[in-house]
Amino acid sequence: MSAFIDARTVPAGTILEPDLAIFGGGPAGITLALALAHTPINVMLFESGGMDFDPATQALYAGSQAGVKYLPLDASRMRYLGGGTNHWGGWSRPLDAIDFEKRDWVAHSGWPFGIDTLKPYFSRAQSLCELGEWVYDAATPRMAALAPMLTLGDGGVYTSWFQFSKTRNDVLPTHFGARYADDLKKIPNLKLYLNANATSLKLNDGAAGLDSIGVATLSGRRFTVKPKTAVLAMGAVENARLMLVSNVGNQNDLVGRYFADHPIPRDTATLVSFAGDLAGYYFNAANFPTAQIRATLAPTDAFKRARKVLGSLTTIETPVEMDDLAKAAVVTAAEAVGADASNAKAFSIGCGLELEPDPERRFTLTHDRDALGLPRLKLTNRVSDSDFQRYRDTMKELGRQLLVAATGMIRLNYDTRAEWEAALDWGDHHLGTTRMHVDPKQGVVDADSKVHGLSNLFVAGSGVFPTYGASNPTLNLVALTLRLADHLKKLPR
Amino acid sequence: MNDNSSRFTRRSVAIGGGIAVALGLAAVGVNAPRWFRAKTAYDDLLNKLIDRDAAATVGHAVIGSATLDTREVAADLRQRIGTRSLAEVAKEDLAQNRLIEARGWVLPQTVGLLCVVAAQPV
Repeated sequence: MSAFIDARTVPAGTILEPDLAIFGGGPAGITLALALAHTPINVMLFESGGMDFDPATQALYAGSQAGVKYLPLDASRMRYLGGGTNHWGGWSRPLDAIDFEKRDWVAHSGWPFGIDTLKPYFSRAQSLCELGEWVYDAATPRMAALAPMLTLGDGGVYTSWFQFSKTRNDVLPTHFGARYADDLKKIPNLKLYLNANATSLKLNDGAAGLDSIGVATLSGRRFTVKPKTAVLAMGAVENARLMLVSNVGNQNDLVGRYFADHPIPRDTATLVSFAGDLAGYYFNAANFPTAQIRATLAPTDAFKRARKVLGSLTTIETPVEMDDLAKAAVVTAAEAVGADASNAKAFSIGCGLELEPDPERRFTLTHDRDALGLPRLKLTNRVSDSDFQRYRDTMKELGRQLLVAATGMIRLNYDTRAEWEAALDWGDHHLGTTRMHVDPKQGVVDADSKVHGLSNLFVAGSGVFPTYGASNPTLNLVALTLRLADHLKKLPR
Repeated sequence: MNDNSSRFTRRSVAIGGGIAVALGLAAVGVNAPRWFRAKTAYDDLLNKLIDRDAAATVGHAVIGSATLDTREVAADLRQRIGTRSLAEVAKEDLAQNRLIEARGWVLPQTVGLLCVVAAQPV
């Protein structure tokens, strides 16, 4: 077992020449390193942070923003080994088949391949994320047998299931850094550098490939990495920043554009169950027992097509009091559909929404600089009215289905843009700044995650997602990274 | 015995008892019996509602987000409902995605419109 290397001890001016350099020690970078273990590929992984949170390193993330209020850029990420998994909630669900399709009602939609291309990698990704048995929507019969489900009438919304990364006593879900540190140390063909920040990408003379990457530490050391192949796995925001700073891969002015996250507006609706209490698996992760799962309400692919809505995942949250109008509405609706609502209870609704890809929701460089001298980023954030309206349409369909089944009803809590924006939170899911497309004019990377026009630079992580779906990205980006690992294994050395 | 006790005639006790019962019913949310309500031009429709007070509350919320002429609404409802029960029509509304909102509460359209009629002053 070899210890990690502190980049602050690397002599200034050193040139490191691995077969493959991975920049970023988050779930993508760690997955890639693990997947390439025991291959003939000489791998070096460079992580900006150390093994734990460090305010000075974290401050490198700081940036500014305009438009729809977003999270502070230095608060929605974690810059030490493990990356975003260090504040991961563990929520997991595979993307839906339709998420990969070109949808005529969603501008700029579609992946270069379908879900079948990712399916072979989901099992290993599930294992790396420590999600237990692959259950998801197959959980329905068993969970229904454990406790009654909320019956929905036929329609466009169905009960789906999240799975959760393993929790160990009071320890939160799998933190890739802490969890896999020992495994990484055991990999003979891997050297892992901590406190090593990529600061520049330099192309070779013909500008057809990457020549080298400049690396700096906060202690002032600077050295160079000249790999045969490199993978940027620093997260969607930092990958784009480094490429913008270096003017690499941006010949079509796409880097940093099409950024997305999943908006999580709070208390978007009130769901009334005419029968009163709901099963515990609607509110908390429940033991399957081979996995921890929680119910979510999702639009079917058929409904998305028919009503031109986007993906969303709705959860039932906490009980809420009913006011006089709520009581009157419940009495009136229940009478009309022949239900007994004498024990009715109301619950707030939470959700995560898919956004339509938007080239103007983007990162740009500013004149402000960080401690390493790199320009900081500015996010221009936008959410279209139709993104909110599409979710409202889905919730209205859920309300219809509850009435059809005579099991409950819905109140839509927000009508105006101001109401939606006031309730907005975000998922910390950074997507889409280096989108994948076969056409260089529409994507930064190709179907193999290789930067268009460059022979040896790849991008890993959810930044390459061209369309986002509503599912949480970690499981899916890990699967996509495993696919990238297979591709890299086949490259000539 | 108090001298005033002679004032409690059988008639006053009956009236007082009636009021107490009415107040009690109101307190537990039971509608006033139909014979206590003034007749309206829409009773043929409103009789399909079990809880007219609740419906009126909902109706005010529907009106809050729409401009509706009660006479036109009633005419439309008569045509829509005909001799059918409200449950039948509500089921048809739901099947055909005819919905209405009462300050966000999603209801079968016919039910919501009946509530609008219930909300009109007598």
